[in-house]
Amino acid sequence: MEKRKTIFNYISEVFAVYGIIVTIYVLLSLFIGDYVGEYSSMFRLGNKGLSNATLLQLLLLATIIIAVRNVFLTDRWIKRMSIILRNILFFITIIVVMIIMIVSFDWFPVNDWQAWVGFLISYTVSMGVSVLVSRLKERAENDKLQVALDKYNKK
Amino acid sequence: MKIEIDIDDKYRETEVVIRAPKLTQDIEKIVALMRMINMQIGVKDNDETYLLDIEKILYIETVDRKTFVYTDDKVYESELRLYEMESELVEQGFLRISKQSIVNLRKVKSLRAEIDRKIRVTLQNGEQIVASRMYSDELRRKLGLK
Repeated sequence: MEKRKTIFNYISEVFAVYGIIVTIYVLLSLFIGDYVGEYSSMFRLGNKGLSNATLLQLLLLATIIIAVRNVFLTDRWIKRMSIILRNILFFITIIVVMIIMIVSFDWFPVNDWQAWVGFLISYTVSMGVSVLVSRLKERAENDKLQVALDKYNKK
Repeated sequence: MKIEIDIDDKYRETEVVIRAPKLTQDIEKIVALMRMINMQIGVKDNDETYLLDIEKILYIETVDRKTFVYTDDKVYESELRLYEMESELVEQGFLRISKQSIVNLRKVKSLRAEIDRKIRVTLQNGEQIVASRMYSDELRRKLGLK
């Protein structure tokens, strides 16, 4: 029987997401940090790494992602809603949060339309990959359950 | 209640006799539990009592402290509580899938992973019930997936 989630479970979820985000940004800073250091506040230190401010901003982002995930992608708060609608609301909320953070923390110049297009394309692609991976995982899980059920009933 | 057990070679088969001044709910429960050993369960429909073969049961559910037994096409009521049935039926391939229900795994047509680690259970008559997150791990374990 599963134990109820505690605050420590949520904290570990936040740090799991935070770890992935920070790793990606550290790698980005190593390769493009010096080129975009003037352009984006995130890469202010060039290829030397990420600043404390950026690390805290990414921690805030990871915390919000987990909070939004727990609202829309679990049934703790919303009991009845289709999986598709849950995913749509999750992605919309995250994109709104990211836009607010981009503007508030000056992640890139807000009047640069090319940067916005780039952001939207990369966000859409990453969300597309995320949906695809979760669909494949779900299908694999369903197949596994069905095989196990058939095996059980043949006993 | 006086309980008397008489074990002797002279008896050809096991016989249980209940002597009481009147039929009470407790006696009905005892009878229902004994019926389960014979793969049958005493159920009620419109005040009539039936003996239902356990293999015909799809799932059992409790609603407002009443226990309902579902078959392909009928719903019966039982005097027994869900936990009393669970303890007897677990050996027959039944499994608790939520606080309210026990399912007959032999009557499950398909299983589908749902959001938040729940499992949607589709029964052979097309009816669907959900295994709660709390019990879905036990279901996975029973199927050898954990």
